[in-house]
Amino acid sequence: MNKFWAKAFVILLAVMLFFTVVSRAADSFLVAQVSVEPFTAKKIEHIVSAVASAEKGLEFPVMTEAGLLVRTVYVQEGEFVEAGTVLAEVDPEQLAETERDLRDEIRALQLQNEAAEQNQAAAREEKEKQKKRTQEDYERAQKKQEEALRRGEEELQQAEDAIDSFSAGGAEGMTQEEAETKKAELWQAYFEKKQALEDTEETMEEAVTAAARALEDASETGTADNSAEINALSIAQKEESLKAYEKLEEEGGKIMAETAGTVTGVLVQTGQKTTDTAAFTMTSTEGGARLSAEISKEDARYVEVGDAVTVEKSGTKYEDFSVTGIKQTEGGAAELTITSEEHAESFPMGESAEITVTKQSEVYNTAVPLAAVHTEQNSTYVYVAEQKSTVLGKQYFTRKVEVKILEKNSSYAALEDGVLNSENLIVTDSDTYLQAGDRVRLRQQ
Amino acid sequence: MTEKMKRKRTAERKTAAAGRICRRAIWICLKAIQIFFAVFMVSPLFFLVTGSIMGEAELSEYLSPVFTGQEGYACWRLIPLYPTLKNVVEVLFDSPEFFHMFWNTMKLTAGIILGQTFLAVPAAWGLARYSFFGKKAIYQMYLLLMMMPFQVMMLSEYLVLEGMGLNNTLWAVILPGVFSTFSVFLMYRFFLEVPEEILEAARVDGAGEMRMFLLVGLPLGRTGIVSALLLQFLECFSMIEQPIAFLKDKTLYPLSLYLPEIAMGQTGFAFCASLIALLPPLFLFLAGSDNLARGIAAGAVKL
Repeated sequence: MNKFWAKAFVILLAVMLFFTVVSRAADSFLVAQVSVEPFTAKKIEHIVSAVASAEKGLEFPVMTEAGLLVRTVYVQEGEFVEAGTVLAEVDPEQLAETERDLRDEIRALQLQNEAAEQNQAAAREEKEKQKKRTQEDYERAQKKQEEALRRGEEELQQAEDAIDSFSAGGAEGMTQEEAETKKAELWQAYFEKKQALEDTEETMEEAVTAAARALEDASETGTADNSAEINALSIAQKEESLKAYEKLEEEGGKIMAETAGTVTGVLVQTGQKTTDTAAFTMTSTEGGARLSAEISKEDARYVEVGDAVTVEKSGTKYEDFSVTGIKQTEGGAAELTITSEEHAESFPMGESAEITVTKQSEVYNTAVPLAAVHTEQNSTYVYVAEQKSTVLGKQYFTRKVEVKILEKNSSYAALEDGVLNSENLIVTDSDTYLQAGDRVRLRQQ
Repeated sequence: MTEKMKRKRTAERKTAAAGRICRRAIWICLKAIQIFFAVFMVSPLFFLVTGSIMGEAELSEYLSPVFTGQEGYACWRLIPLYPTLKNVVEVLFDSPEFFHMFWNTMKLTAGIILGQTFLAVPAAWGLARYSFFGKKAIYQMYLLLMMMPFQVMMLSEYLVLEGMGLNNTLWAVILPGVFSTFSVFLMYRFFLEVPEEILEAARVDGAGEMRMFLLVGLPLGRTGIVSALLLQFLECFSMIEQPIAFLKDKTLYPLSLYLPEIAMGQTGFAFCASLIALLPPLFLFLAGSDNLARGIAAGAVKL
């Protein structure tokens, strides 16, 4: 025996033993470790989660009197305040001065009113007096007219009687020519009387008419003067303002929130005077909470109006919210409006919270974890770990199985039945990239 | 010396020179043929070595007519264009199945060699040195069994092993190997060479039969034993039919069945695995080459 080669043989065996251990170690290190599980019957639960922010509710103004110098503004926009919280404070001296001015104005108006009333009474007395005089003139004119007419008619009647008596025999004793002359004179007198009567009638009629017009003019009420009433209204308004100023003064010049809510707008500034518009705008807590959240187009497919929503904020869950509106946005996403009749105080405007809408599908017989499903170009498949006899014993190898997804959520996918069987071990997770036919090692469950 | 004799000598010298030239030419031709065949015989080993350090792309290019059925012939380079140790690394560090099968082979071979050491050696000694009834018939039966190919014995061996419940175990390969007749035959020939006088002297000196076997037979028949076991090792290391026939579980497969497990596209890996698999029998062959030559010669001449 050649000892050298015999030793070489022994060394070779030792080397082979060494590499046996090394290759085993390398193999256990390199072979992919996978998690497997069989498919299950499952409902696909769609959980749509998003971060929502509280929106402003019903907005109302906080009014104060105009012209007051703002000394301090205590709140900011978006701040939640309780009822009675001081929102701002006005300068008390300027307030007192404003009150004094207002009182003076009221007093001036009152004085104006008193003067106006006195003037109006004097005018009324004068008018009555004038009316009485014109009435007397009118009545006198009427009497004079009646008297003149009576005299004219009597004179006309006398002329007419003279003609009649002449015609009845008054011409006896007179020549034809005298009689004719006398008759013409009588008729001349008659016509003159008649003309005089008519002139009198006309003259008197004009006089009565003039007297009647004068009476009519005197009876008129004259020019309307509402300044007193207007002043009275002004006084009432100013008195109202004065009351408000006085009330504000009683409160130390503090503008306070009447109800709890969120300040949505601060319309006054320190050092500026208040205007006749609102000093603050607020949202009330009485309208409940209102949140809005944006979700993806994909998630929007699973959300409907009326769906219950779980809202979580700071570890507290609120279960009585619901979807009240879904609006498509330009980017294809959807904006959800979520409301509750309560919890307004917990969700002041701008407060963020996590919302969750949960919807469940029908029961699918073949559901696998979504991580087990792979997509490549137009192919969707899962890897199944199958045991095969190898030189090293029973080992698992991957096999690619084409599947069709019926429905999925972020965790599970429902697959078409019949492709997988209940004994298939579906690879749900691997520590390396897998390919069909790869040898794998199952992780300890 | 007459002119005639001179011419005769000259002619003889020319004839002798021509003969020498002719013999030299023949010798060169024979050597050339010998070298040619030697190179031809060694070429697989050369392919193994160069293929082991050749990249897969280069191998595919050279062997594409073989693997893809393209027209033309496979070609080879003496030195790889882009030598690489990737195949070596892959075999040594990333092929636990190769080593698993290697140790399966070693278990089978060691089991058979050990078994033959304890059974075939005494059997050969008994056949060679003792006279008993039916000895010739047994010897003839040994010869007959040695002539029979494995395929003839396979079914009966399978049935027996199945009956013993040994199928699909390493014993299914080891046990038939242990009772191989070739080793008995080879060692028988060497034990016959032991002079009867030496055995007689031992008997006179009071040695028992076992003592004679251990102290006289084994040392004198050492060459035969070694060569028989060495040849048996080489046969066991590369046996294919027995493992295929009796082993179903792949975890029991020996290294000789490893190449079919290698997938296409792993030509370099296959070359390297084959080269490494060659080393153990090569080392043993080199270690026992003297004994082996004598053993083979003894078996061939004295048959």
